[in-house]
Amino acid sequence: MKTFFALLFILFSSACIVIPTPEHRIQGRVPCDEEKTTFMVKNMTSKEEVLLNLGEPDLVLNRERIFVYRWEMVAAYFAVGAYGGGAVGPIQRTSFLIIEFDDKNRVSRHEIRGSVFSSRTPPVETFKSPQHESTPSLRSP
Amino acid sequence: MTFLRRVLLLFIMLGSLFACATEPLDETFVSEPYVKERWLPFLADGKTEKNGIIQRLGEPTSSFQNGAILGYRLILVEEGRALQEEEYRKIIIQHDVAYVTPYYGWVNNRRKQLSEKGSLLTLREENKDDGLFDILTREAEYSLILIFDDHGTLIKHNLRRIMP
Repeated sequence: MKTFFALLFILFSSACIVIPTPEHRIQGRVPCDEEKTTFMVKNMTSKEEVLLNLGEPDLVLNRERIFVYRWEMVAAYFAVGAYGGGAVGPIQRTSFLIIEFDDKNRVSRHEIRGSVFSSRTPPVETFKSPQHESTPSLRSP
Repeated sequence: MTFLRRVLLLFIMLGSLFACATEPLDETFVSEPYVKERWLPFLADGKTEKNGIIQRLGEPTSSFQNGAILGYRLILVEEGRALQEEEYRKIIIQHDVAYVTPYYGWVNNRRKQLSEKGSLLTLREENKDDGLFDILTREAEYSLILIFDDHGTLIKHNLRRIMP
């Protein structure tokens, strides 16, 4: 009976809490968010301008047709407490800026994608251009 | 009187504590203009040649448009020393403490030291493994983009701080 109550006590004395916060960065790459991409105009902005403004991409695909920039923002903090211990940590939201260039090295498309509460990098196939199905040349600078 | 003295002392101690605890992060020594002037003064649009840059900075991290655009991933680290594991741990802990508290005294001091004795190290695939501790303890990371004309002369460049 004592063991039962001890187990019951341990069970009910453990807890987990998630505290949402305004998105903020604690480490990692500077975000390439909407604010940083206002200079991009479809069919106008060149690859040079993109590189000069945003720096090297984190991933280059399809023979420089697609650039990917990746950053993480803290969206919440979790706290786990149990009998005799506990842990606190950030929950990060990963975002990607995907830029596609045309034959003249001009921006033909760009979008920001986010994976809510996940830091897992989507598979490379996700970024494959529909126009260029050739094998991607993957380079991570 | 003694009581008043104690209260006053307590206020002075608390005041000192809060004054320390609110030391702001000094971005002067890691700012793009400072780093450019301190370590990259040789870059001049319309003058500097590609070969000269490669001689100084080494092979680039990345290359675009058949070498017309070069990219350098540069990290700000202590110069000329092989970082040992113990020191690496110390730096990481000091950093975490600084950003959590937030008391940036240690970080500001390190940035000042790096501005005097630090170096900009070019990251490449080949040196990633050897310089792992350097990479993990970098004070700042930059992306330098260089655009050349057909003759290999620098026509445009920009340094962007990308981390932290």
